[in-house]
Amino acid sequence: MKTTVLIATNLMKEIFRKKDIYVFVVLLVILLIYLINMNFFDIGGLSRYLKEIGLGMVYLFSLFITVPFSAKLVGEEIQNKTIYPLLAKPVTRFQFIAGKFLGALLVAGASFSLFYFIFYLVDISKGTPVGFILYLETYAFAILMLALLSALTIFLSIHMTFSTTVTLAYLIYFIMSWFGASFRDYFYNFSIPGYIAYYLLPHFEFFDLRDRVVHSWPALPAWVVGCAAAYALIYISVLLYFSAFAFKKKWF
Amino acid sequence: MVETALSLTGVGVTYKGKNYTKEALFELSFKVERGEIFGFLGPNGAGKTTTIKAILNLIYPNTGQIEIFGCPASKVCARKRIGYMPEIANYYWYLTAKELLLMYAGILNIPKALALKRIDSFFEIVGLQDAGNVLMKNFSKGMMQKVSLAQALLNDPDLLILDEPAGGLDPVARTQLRSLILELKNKGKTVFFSSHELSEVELICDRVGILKEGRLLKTEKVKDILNQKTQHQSLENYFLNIIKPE
Repeated sequence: MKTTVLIATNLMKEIFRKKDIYVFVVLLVILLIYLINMNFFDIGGLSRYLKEIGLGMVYLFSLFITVPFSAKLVGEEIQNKTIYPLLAKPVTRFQFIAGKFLGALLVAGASFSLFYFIFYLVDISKGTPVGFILYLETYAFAILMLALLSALTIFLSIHMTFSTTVTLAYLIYFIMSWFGASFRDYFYNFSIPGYIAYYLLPHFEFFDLRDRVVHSWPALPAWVVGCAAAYALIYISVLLYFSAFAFKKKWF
Repeated sequence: MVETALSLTGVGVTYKGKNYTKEALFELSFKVERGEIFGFLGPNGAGKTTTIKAILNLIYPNTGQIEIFGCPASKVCARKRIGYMPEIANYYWYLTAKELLLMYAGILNIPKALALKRIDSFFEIVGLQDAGNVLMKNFSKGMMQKVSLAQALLNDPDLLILDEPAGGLDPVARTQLRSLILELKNKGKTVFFSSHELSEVELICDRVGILKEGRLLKTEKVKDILNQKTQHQSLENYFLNIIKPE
């Protein structure tokens, strides 16, 4: 565990020192200005509409950070040959993959937390706030979603080039987010094999609670939260296991 | 009885691509005893780096066995007692040298205070004492090479594996490296290194192994080679004589 954490924290340190991150700071400033002004001309449902866009931007920026960062982690390490001295130490390939995943998650999580916190501050001061539990649930679900997306991207990056990985990861994410729920009726026609196939797909839409915040719906019951968290954790573990398994077969 | 630090028995490595197959090592067998400095020589493409990668478990032999102090190379225990300096020294550009070495020290389970002491003393020896807190993107090739050597020595390894260690080092640093290797030998450490610098090898190695096209042609004590000077003049002539086409 110590090795995994060391790899992750140094990765995070490195990423925050690279200039790429400033792009997201600029995006954050744009978001901030946008959100501060969003209640300016509040007419009827306009506030809700702007709230939807604001939250959408928070998710989109986080997506832009998570996918490319996760996609380049392993490839960059191989390309720069920094992997040689690292794997020559008592580090297992699973620890390496787990460390990279944790690092990506820390970066994605820290960025999302910052964006979401700003959204939250603006929403409670200028918008039509919802219950605190729902804000928390939305936050926790988004982190789980980013973790799932990061694990999926790392898994793809073991087998594919950077550009293919990024394209495919976005494609899977958007297809599942937009059409994931509608697959249910189709798959459920096939009884048990259908249920299994349905849950084998990465259901990012399970973790998107934006509509609840926008429309001020009640928070989810605890058992639903528990099931979704279990689904995410199992899915992430399986993806990391298969990533490490494929990575173990690689020659450097 | 002298302990075997490194043992390769019948090691074969075949690179397999979609449209090609290349046999890189054939039935490679040799042993390096504890306390020995073993020079691994061969022309470009002979399989020296492949052998080192197989020892480090970065690639997997198709046949044979590799053991480091009796522990199979595929196990984590084998990598606890070794230090490795790669041919191309490239590290994380956005970490400082000290941060990098502390990360490796953490992985090697070295207490932070001891690691800092070792890092500071090593930096002082190689003249990097002012560069410890500088991001490595600002390092020259030679400085990077020194950091590379520092990370290899961090755990006070029993077996030090160096892949072309002198490349990128200035003459002063080369002399320091030579003294360091001899000092390690005096402490009972084992050094295995590949090199093209035959004059360097002649000065410090106890024994050499000569590899050509994946086959180990000869292992001989440097002392014995130099005693045959009348015939070969130098290690270089001996080497050229061994690897010349049939």
